[in-house]
Amino acid sequence: MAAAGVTTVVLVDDHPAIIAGVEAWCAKADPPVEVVDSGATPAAAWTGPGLAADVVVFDLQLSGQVPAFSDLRRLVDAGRQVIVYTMREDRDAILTCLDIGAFAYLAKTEGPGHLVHAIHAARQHLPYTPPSMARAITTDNRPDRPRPTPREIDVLVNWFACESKEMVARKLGLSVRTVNSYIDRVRIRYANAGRPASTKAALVARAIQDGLVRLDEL
Amino acid sequence: MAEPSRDLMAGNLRRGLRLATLAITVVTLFCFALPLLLANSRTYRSLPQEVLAFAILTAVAVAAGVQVLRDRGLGKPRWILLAAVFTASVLATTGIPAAELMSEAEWSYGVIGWFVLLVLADHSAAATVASLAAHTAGSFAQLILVGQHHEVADLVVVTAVVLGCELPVLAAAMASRRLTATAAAAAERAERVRTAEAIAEHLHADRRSRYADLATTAVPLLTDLTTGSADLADPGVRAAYAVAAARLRRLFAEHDEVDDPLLHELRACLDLAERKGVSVYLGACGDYPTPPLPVRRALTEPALRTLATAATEARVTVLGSPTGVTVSVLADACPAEGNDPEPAAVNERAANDSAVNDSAANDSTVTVTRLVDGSRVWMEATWRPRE
Repeated sequence: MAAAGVTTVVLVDDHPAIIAGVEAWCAKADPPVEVVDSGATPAAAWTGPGLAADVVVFDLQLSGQVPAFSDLRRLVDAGRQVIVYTMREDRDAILTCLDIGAFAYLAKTEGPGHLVHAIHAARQHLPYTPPSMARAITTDNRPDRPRPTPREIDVLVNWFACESKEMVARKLGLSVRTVNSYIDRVRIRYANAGRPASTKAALVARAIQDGLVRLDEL
Repeated sequence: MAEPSRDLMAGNLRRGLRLATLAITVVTLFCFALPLLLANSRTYRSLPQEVLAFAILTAVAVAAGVQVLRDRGLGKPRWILLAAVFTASVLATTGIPAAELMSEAEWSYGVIGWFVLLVLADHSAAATVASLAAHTAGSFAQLILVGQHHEVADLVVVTAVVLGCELPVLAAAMASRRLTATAAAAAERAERVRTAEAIAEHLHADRRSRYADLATTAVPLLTDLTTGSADLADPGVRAAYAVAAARLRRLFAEHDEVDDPLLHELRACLDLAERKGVSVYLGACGDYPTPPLPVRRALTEPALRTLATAATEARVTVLGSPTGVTVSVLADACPAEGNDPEPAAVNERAANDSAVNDSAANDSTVTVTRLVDGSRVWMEATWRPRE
């Protein structure tokens, strides 16, 4: 168990270099993030110190050829906050993980800024949408998808293009706060759609509490 | 165009020759053989055998004639027809008393050769000659076997007359076949030469237009390099070389056959920056149509320019939307370049120039926007095809 104020993380990844890299990023994070355990299989998140970690950083492409969606589902069903951090950047994998109830999906091309940010947000049940997730959402064409407004799509696409909310705000003539709220509201609508999961419900509940969305909007 | 006319020519020659052979065969059978058969009906040892032989030859003439008139080949059944012809020959020559073999009552000798030609000449000259030879040799053998030695000289004369008429037709058939083959080969050669010429012309025009582009961009830079007048310590000059090199890479990429030329050419623009150590992310989002080449150049130009001066990292994205396609570049500019607005200004002008050129041709425009945030530059080139 980590001290209060410190976010604890367990890493599930089969590449030692990735584990070492994420540990280094977490060590430099402010507020502090502590990697309590790591391993090449999901067992790391189910045993020892990993069991109590606030956030699970999870590689979808573990040794096998098949993405580990079922391992992700088991973690989510146990109420864990899971950040998928993987090589794959394709839309279908991202949307599937969101539907299962992953907190966020990060491609490994996305650096420490996004990962540490997402870890902090996950602990507080605040939405965080990295650029690759924004892209998947804007190109979602499943029939039962949540429908963002054209303005929201515009903000998400620009966020994917430049990775800087300040620049998106300047370009579109909005405040950074508004840009954030556009992105977060789309995320909440995705959390409210599809397969029910306690992690998704927590994200929606927190958003309603914070006044980000109203109940009748959902 | 050459193909059908060549076939037509070959077909006409072959058809004409077959029709002529058919006409001669039929005329010989009915105007020469039939009167002889009728006039000498009492001479024969077995008239029904003679009539049967004549009927068989008539049937062969009809079967072959139908195919000739329909301009079709005889195919495999030609061998059945050939067998029928020889059967008729045997029937006709055995149905007559031995003493009459060299008389005018023997109507079949001058006819059989024409039937052989009718059935075989369009198939193979060798088979035709072999059949004619077999028939002639058979006739001589028969004459000797039945004890008519004294008439061999007569048969030699008759044979000379008959073959003298038949062999020229066969020679004509062979010559026409050779002629057709030569003509076909010549036409094919001419066609190959024409194709090669067209390709060479196209390549030449292609190279000329590429050289015209390079003459104003890369060539002056290379000249400066050789004369030593280029100041390579100046980052602006180095950037100019980087831009020219990236343009060359894009030019090469334009000739590749790929699914997404825009992304492919964009990748070629980034290649050099990546080699320089700039970490580049290239991603696409959404669907977009493939813009025409001038538009692609205008779209990739800002990325190419920006990356020439990028210091450590760049994010290049292709954003498709229902209304058009945008190429977005976010890069940290080198401090020296950041203070110098010139490259970017040139950049926008270049992009707009090509956009203007393009709008004349494609009725669409590429617009470029630029946003600077500290050391970072965000450029976007957007193309909206008009409906």
